[in-house]
Amino acid sequence: MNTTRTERPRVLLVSMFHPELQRGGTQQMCYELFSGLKQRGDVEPFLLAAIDKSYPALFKPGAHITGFDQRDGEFLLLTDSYDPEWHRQTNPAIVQAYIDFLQTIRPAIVHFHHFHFFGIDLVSLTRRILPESRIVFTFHEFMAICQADGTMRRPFDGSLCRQASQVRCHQCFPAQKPEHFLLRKLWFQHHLAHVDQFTCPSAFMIEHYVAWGLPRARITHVANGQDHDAVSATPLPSPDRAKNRFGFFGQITDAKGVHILLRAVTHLRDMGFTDFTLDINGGNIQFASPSIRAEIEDFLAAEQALPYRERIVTAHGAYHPDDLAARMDRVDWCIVPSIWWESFGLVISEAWMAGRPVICSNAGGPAERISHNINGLHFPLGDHRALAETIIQCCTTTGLWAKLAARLPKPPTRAAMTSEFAALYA
Amino acid sequence: MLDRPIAGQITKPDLGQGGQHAAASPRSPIRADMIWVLDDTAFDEATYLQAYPDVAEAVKLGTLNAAYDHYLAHGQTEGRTFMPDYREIAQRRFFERPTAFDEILAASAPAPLWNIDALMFAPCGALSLAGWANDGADPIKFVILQTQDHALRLDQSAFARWRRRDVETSLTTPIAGHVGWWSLAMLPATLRLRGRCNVTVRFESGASSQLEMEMLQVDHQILRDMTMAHFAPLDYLGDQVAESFTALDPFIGDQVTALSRIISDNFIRGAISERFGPQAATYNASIIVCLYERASYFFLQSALFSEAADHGYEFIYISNSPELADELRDMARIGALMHSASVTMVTLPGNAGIGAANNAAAALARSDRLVFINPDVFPYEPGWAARHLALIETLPADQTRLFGVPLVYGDGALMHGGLHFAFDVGTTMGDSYVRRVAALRIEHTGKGAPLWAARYTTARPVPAISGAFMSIDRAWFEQIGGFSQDYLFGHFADADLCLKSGAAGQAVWLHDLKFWHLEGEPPPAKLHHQGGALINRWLFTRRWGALVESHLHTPPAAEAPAISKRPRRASPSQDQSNP
Repeated sequence: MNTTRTERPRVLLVSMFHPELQRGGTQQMCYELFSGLKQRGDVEPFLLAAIDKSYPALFKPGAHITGFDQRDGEFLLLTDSYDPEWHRQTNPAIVQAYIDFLQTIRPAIVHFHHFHFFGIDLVSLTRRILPESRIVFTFHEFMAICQADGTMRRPFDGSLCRQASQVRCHQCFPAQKPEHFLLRKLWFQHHLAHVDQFTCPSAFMIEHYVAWGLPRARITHVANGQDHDAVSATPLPSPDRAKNRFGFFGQITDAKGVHILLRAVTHLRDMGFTDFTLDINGGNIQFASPSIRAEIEDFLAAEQALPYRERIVTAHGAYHPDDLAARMDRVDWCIVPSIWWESFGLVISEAWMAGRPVICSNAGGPAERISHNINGLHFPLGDHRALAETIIQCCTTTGLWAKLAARLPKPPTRAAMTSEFAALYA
Repeated sequence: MLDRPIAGQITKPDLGQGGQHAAASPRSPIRADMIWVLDDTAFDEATYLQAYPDVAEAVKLGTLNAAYDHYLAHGQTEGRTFMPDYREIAQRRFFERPTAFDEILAASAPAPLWNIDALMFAPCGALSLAGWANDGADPIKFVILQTQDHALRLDQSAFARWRRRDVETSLTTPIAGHVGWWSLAMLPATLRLRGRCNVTVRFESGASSQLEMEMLQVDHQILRDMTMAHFAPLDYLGDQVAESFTALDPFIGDQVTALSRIISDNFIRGAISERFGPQAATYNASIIVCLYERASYFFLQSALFSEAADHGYEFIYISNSPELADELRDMARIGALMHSASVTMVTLPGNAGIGAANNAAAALARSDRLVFINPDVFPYEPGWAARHLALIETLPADQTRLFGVPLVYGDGALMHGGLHFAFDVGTTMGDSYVRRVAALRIEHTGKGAPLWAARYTTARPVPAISGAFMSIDRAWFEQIGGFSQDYLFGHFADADLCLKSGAAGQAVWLHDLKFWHLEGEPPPAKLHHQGGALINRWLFTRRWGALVESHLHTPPAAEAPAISKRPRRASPSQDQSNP
């Protein structure tokens, strides 16, 4: 471990979770940035990753911030108390530990990735402790705006929400009065008022936050960038064989829409169209709602009970980034059936790195990034019948895969993303 | 708006006697005309005169002013109230032992049916009892309670009556009027009623009957709250508010108030307080917030009011909910850390009511300006802290000594542009009377109006302001005695303070410094809170009804600026001429 500190400007990245411990796009992007800043060398980055009790062995008596696995510049914020309704710290000792940490590190820039698990109130606390620091905040979804897990998807009918308001939010959560949502907005905006620069990974997100009340001039689009090495070595599918292998990559949660995909499979099977396969890659089904979880698990159990030749769907479980190339090798297409305003869609970048075209819902970041019938395909969000038709189209249209694959954009790189953020730090 | 009597009627609604209930002490004196405690040591003038003819003669001759003078000079040391003659007469008078003729009459007319449902006593001397009696034809004269140690007589006027539909349904005999009765009485603190209790009910005819039951021993807060929960939903032949006022007027209202003061005072004495964050000797202003049952607004206010710390404000939170103590303490610590604010956290061992709690918090303030706010009040726009101080520094003192602000609903409409008063009139009835009773009602001026309606938000004197945001000069606050602590749980204490200020010559103002007041439809009030609200409304009407009514019926004049029928939009010169 390097124990000699240079005089380079210090950048503190505050992250929800650590990607080594819990997979997820937010922490992965924060870590990509941390790695990118290290590579650049013109600043000295620090990472403070908030973790919960998922790894109790990492907690230490009396410690609230500690190191991580002997890694230089990486720290864990051990949050054993957190108010998930208001997203705030409830333990004064953690607040004091964060103050001490800031006063020890004294970063010139503090860059927050999300606020979940460490608290939105740490933003204004940072301003008080380090009044001269530059505070950057990256939104990864809409949790500040929307109480429905930041999805802006209305719980009662699944429709997408385009603008929050006291009454509309009350309609989504009838047990809470409209005033609650005014307070919620006042609370979040109070803390976010201390931010110098916001960023969003997709341009469409900016409109949501501007409509919510943030000044447009302070929000910038910085696309998520990744190191391409891990996936770019994936062999391309043989040009001669049929392109009828589909894959899902990501969290098995409601918002990611795996159940829509499985309903499309059921629909196709009912139609007698079975000449295709679907690989499900991902975990965290424990975070799905009980009904969606039951639907997915029942489907997979029934699939497993079928004779081998009749099986279409195979669940491969969660994967480490190192396994991604091998998983991609098994499919021709990636499907992103998210049923919310997917903010960016890292899997799209990963599919593109592997040379796989993507079929996605026609909303949010995926729709912004993928041009329909140019370098991928859209289907109406949440419509499993339309998705089924798209699958048939992919399997039966000669040359479609090659046409789309030939025009896949080059996804943003880690270096490009890091440069954009470095420019914002100046 | 005053609900005026119907044209042609010459009677006026009963407003009670203004000022009669204005200064209840923590323990009101025993009402000798209604409660009589038979005690060996008790002095009773009439009994003393009857037992000691020499004293009676001296009084008759003018040698002594009263028997009590003799008792103080000689009788007390001689133990005259312990002597058999005195005790026999005292007991005879106390029990009103019937004459032989009365006994014949009583034998021919058996006592009406009656029963007792509840009999409770609290160590502070509070007695609560409730029951029923089908006494329309032969009214109750008094009730005697005898325990092993004490005997107590309550006159019929110490009881309130109400309608008992269950009794009406159960009894086969004809029933008229209110057969239910209840009372709450504050007895000498030295009295201990416990164990088995013999209850005798004597009727006007001389008939009597008795039963024996256990005197339930309860904590004084439980006794009050159970009694208020019993009182709140009572059924009457007439209007509930009017009948409630009638029930409270003769006796019970003052007793409840006195008991509540004892409870409040006990809670205030048991307070603990801690200070968090940087501390200074003095501040520009002290924000005081009384919390009850809900902690969550604490951290929201700490954050949303945080600009106050930069302008020399301190925060004093006082909690009427001890069960929140640890959670609030953590919030206070975090609030101080997050915002570098001076936070004082006061925790009371129970609900002392808003008035008592705010007074206790004010005593801890380190500034000359007190700002009382509700937990659900939040700044409407940044810069409020400096603007509030600027108002005080730049305006004439009589415009800022006590002022409120426009309060805004979450939906963007005006919630409060001052308070004004109105009367509701209801009918109360008995066997031989029908009477109309007026009850004061507090209204928020401009409620629901758009914010651009300047007539409600412009700076002007107003009849009163909501305690949701009340800025007051500390010296004036102390001069007028702070919040009244007689109101149960606190409602009406804000308007009461404003009327006290007006009566003392200082008009209440409203200045256009908007705040959110996120008042929504409240959850159903607990029964004892409903009972407390009735008591408070009665007390507020009795204290201020006559004054408000006189101003409502009299065109606003120079001598009466503080109370008006409608909010008046006054020019600055008018404002200054009507302090």
